[in-house]
Amino acid sequence: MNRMKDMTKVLLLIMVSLMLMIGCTRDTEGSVTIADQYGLAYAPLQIAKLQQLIEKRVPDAQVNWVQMANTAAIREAMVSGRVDVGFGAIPPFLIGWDHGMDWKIATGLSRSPLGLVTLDPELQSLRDFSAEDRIALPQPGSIQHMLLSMAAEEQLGSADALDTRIITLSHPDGVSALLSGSIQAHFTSPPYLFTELEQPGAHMLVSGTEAFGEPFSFIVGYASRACYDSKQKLYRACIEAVQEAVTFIEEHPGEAAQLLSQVYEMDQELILKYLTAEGMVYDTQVLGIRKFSEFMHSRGYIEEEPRSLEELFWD
Amino acid sequence: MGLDRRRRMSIIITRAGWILSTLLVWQLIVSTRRVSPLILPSLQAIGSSFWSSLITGDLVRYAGVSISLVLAGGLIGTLLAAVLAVAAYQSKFLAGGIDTLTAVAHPLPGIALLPLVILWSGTGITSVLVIIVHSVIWPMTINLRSGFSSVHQRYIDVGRNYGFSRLGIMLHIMIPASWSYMLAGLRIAWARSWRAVISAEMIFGVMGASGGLGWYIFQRRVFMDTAGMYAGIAVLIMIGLVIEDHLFRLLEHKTISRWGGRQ
Amino acid sequence: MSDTLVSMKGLDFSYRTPDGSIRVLDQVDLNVERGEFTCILGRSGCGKSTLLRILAGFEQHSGGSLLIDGTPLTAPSMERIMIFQEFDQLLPWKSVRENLLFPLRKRFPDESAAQLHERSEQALALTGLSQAAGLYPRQLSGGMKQRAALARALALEPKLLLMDEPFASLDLKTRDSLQQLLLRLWRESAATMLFVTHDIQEAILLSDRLYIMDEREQGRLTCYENPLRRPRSHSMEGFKSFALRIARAFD
Repeated sequence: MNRMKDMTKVLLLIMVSLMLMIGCTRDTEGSVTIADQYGLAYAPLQIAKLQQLIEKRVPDAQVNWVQMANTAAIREAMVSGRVDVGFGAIPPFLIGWDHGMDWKIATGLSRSPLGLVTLDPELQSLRDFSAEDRIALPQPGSIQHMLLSMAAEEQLGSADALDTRIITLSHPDGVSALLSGSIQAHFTSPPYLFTELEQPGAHMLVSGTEAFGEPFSFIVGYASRACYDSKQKLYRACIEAVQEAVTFIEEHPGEAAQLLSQVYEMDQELILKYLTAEGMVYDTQVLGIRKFSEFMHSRGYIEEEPRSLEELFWD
Repeated sequence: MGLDRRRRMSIIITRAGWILSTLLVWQLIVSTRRVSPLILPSLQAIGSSFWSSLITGDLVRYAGVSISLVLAGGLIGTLLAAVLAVAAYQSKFLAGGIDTLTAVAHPLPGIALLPLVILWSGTGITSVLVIIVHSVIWPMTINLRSGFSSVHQRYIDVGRNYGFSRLGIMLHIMIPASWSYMLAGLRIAWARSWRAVISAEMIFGVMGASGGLGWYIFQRRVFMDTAGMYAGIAVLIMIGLVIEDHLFRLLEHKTISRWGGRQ
Repeated sequence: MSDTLVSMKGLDFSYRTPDGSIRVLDQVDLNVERGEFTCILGRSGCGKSTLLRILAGFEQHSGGSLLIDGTPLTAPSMERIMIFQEFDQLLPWKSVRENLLFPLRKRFPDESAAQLHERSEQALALTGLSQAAGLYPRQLSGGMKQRAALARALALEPKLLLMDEPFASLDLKTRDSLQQLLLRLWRESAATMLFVTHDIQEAILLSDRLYIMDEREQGRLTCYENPLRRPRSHSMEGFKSFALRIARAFD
């Protein structure tokens, strides 16, 4: 019976500490944590960080930047209150929203060329994939997956026609798998997209714009309700900082490339080329959300369809 | 026998006690509604997710894929390890090479090799198998070799007396005599390969029919089905408990306990 | 008429060590007559175990000639079965019965499972182990283990049984009963016995012919005919005086 008592004590202790750990938001009103991912589409955030554009607006603010491997990780960090503002594509946002996450889109960030690249001359359209061919993309439910499904629906008649050929690989693993020939196609974004297209024989089977049919935002910023409600000043500062960074890149691409070449450890000329590449647009406007949510709802990726845009945007 | 059964019962009771109390605490926390169900879903939600995946056969199929991968890789790895250990036992020259190889490869986590494996053997089943074999072969080689060197000369003499060839002695004397080392090696190999296969499936999942449990959990994660994710993890735990607490203990009981300690 | 099974002449043997080789046996001669019970008496470390290991085929001699039944000894064989002093010579992962059946299958490959079973049951019955057939070695006492080793050896019907102090680790009472058992089994089988011991009483009780091994002269053997009638006992006439004679030669 003594053991039972000990056990109860231990369990009570665990319970209390769990409650303390999960229940409280760690950070205070004076700090904001922003999560982004790797890639040129996030370039304005790097500028905002380097030029301290948020600190410029809220001088005593403590700004924490974290880089995460994928949107799923950002989502989890935002659910547990560790991250206030996160950046990623629209489809993972809609999945979170559909599951009851209390978050909305705060700003757009970039449009970007995306595409399904292959090195195989035999492959000229989606119809040419054999059952053994493999298509890599970062994860199911990602924007790359949704774009591939849209293209498959249009060209092959069914959104999941290519799903059994999909394997999930991070962008850099996908590049090496494509180059080594262990996968036949890779749905990716810059700079990986540009690297792959520079290979001899590389060609795009379908581009993001072709698949979507109209311009769409690649990366947007989302903020949690906790951040929006209780950190209005910082929230505003973030949005304005992003706007300023976007304008800076559009107006001074050369200077931006110079700053970014340190961050990405890439040649300045190359960055400039990528920043100004066709289809690479930094813009706080959010495009395509209606079409994404309609498509994802009709294919069962989300259960509910937003009734109005107000459900999805803070302002 | 009676003692062993009692010991196993007591393990089951202790485990059940702790697990049930943990679940109780879990449910208490959930009922305070202070924690988002996206972090801690209720046990009912997990249970119904588990149940619905169970009746559609999904969970069984996913678990089956992972387990059969581990079994296949484990078998290949064990056979290769046996070849290495026998070679090292027969030849001092080869022993040096195998020593070096083991020392270099053993500490490498299988997942660290993934980018290389993708380059060499692509992204199919082969790559997962390569990683499992890697997790199995080195601990098995090390244990088999210490097992062989622990076999008493007298048993080898008995085998020679019966006119067995070197191979016959290997099969009929050395391998059964080092069984306790093999079993210890198998335990390590199981733990390492099970972890490796689940992580590999999470890193490069295959969307088709060939996904395993790791893939199941990853898929639930990217679609934010937290309850389903916990259900998958619960299956992982159950498989681990059954294999550690029961399969290996049973194997040990049927062999080593009967034969009497290490030979 | 003599019928020699083992004929050893001028046998040499050296152990190789990192610091050179150590000569253990030098110019050793030994004859073992078929059907006889031969004992080799020597102190521990005098090389008598080495001699047995050479006869079993486990070690290669470096010089001299060694003929078994007129042919040179080359490799281990089930014609010559060795019984060790140590109790753990039964394979621990097999039951007593399986310990017997395992070599029997190799010895008599043409016989049916039933015939082999018959052989093993018979050997177990002769050694009083019928009840213990299903047990694992770890469940046996030291005496039972040595009985099982004897049963296993005799079931194989070897020409020559090589025994390396098989009873030395047993208590006195068990040793007495095993000595009697061994004599009975010897009488009932056609086996030739070569029995190594450091116990003078044991050597006199068992042997037809007795060799003393001298470690100061690298294993040189001196032969003594045992004059005592069988059955023998420690209290019989002539036992003490023969023992005294051997003891004097032994020192």
